Amino acid sequence: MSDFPELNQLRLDIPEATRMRHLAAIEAALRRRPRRRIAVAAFVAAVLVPSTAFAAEAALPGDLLYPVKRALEPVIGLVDADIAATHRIDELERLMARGAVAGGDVDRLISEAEVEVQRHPHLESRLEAVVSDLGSMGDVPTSPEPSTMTIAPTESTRQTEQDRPTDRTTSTMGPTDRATSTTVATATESTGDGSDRGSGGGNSGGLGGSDTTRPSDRGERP
Amino acid sequence: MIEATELDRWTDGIRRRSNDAFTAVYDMLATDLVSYAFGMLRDRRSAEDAVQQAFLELTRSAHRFRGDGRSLRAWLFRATRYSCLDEIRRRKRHPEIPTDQLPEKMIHPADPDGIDPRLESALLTLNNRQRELVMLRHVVGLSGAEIAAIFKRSRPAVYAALDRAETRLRSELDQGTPR
Repeated sequence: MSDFPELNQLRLDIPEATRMRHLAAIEAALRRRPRRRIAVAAFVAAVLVPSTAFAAEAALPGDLLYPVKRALEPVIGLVDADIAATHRIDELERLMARGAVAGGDVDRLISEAEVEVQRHPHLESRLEAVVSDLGSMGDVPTSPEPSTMTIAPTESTRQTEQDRPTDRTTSTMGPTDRATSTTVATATESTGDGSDRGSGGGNSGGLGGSDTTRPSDRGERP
Repeated sequence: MIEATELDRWTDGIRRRSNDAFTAVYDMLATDLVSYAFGMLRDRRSAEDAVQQAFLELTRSAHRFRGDGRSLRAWLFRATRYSCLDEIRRRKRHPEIPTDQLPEKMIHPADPDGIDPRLESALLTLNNRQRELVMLRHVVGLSGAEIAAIFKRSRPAVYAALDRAETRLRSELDQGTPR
């Protein structure tokens, strides 16, 4: 600097008013959050939340995102009042499609759906249809099919009696087997008169079985 | 000129966006920065605005700042320089602005700051980069290494360019011929 003392006249001072104006602007800028943090927050809000909500829409009880789906329902409910009832019924239908039967999540969903449907009666018929379908699905594993049960004791037992050498040698087995088939046939008759008579399609073709049950079954058909 | 070591104690505060740290650094460097900007823009108000822009830019980037007081000073001079270059480009894009405010015209004869016409003429013979070098070295008082950090050039390149600028300026001042 000493080589050019003339240049000292280019050195300026900061007026106090300018200093105060600058410092006020700096202080105001420091009070604002850095843009990057705002950008990250905006990205999360704009991308992650909607995508998570969209993914949670298809969640079923037991899924990772199912709590998210339930948590968002009150929010979505502000614009879509029956969203909770619709979700419960949808979940029941999808669980049925997966082969679910009564009990556990299904029972809980039915209870929740019934509560929701009370507030939205237009969904009542849909819930009834789902519960009805679920009930008929649930009875299948526990109700024996008449045709199968009537065929099995007669024909298979005869074959078994013929194939088994022990049946011929052991005289006590014959009455035992016959007694079993008789018991099953009796069970078939009583089952055929039961409540699931209409849904049991085992009487088609009139294969085997006793004649006392068949006409009544046929008579009930439209 | 403020020693870089005096700025060292405020670098942590700058990183934490402390208002006290910004105020202290402003008080230490604002005069140097405005003088440098005035050399580039030849307009006091524009020079002050450029310095304010530099500090506002620092508020946005402070959380990423890593370095000591010397680095902080170089960062602020570089930010001020970019603000001045933006202003120069803006003036060129808008021809309604009086051309006597452009750096190429340097100092207007009726400049209210009362610069010596002989000095004014001598400075006009330098190109923009040479004027910047002279301002940083002889008005602000930065070392060649610090100037090299601002321009992001090697020290030998800065020393060579500064030597040519000083020789030219000395020659013009010795001639004493107003242009």
